[in-house]
Amino acid sequence: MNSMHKLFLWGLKVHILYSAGTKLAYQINQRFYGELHHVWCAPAPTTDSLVGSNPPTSDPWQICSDFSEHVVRGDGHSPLVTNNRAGIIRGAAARHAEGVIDSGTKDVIEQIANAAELQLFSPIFMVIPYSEVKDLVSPVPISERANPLSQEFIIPNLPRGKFDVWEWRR
Amino acid sequence: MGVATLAMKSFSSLLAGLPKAVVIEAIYLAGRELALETPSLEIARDTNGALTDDEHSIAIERAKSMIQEIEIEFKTPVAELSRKDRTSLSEGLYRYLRNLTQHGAAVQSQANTYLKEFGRAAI
Repeated sequence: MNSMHKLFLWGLKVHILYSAGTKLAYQINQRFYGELHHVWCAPAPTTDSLVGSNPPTSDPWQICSDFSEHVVRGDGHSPLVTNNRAGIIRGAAARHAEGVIDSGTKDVIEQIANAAELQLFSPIFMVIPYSEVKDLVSPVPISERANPLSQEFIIPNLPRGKFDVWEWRR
Repeated sequence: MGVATLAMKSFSSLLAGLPKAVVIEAIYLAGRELALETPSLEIARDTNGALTDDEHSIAIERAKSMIQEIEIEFKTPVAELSRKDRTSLSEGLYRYLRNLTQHGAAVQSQANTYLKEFGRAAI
């Protein structure tokens, strides 16, 4: 059991965590990984301008906004989209090594990541009640955060039943 | 020969002979650096069961070498690269990865079936 039962951000108790992803990654998790999602997440930014907030690269709202901009613009060569393809291929290698999928399925996922059209990289926004996942959350070590003061967490196996998800519309 | 092409030649020699999972990780890490414009090479210490600790260290080291190679060839930090250069390098890296992960007609056909399903499905 994770020892972090209460999560505080700048002294305030955190109730909700947020995460960003793409429609393609979501569908692959649902279809091939038993509806388990590997997510990086963060609390809502504080409204106090005197305290720090996550850099844009660790801010789910900003990540969704960036993906949306690239998809709307039709930028299929965007480094953000390209790296999401690579991330899906990396995820398939990890799930294969964990025994979640066989090598044939890994090959299919690799091919899906390579062939997917830009629209499938439309962003999704995930809303995760902390009370539902408190035993599943791991804090990202300070040395591995985009910014030492940023609040970032990993949930390696987040069941679909424990979060809400919105398709991001601009 | 363009600067991005020169960098890609260096990438090929940095990645040659490594296990596929290590190459995938190294390309993912370097590509993430290009995509996010912030130092993030440590991020993939996030669990990746496909790699041993030693392999993970090699992937991080190769990704750092690729980023250094870019900064030498372009004579500028990655964070200051133009959007065009960033896109060109990212595409080059991904092309390398795609060549490693392309499959035959049967797998392509299965993948296309799923892609159709995903395109129609609501989340």
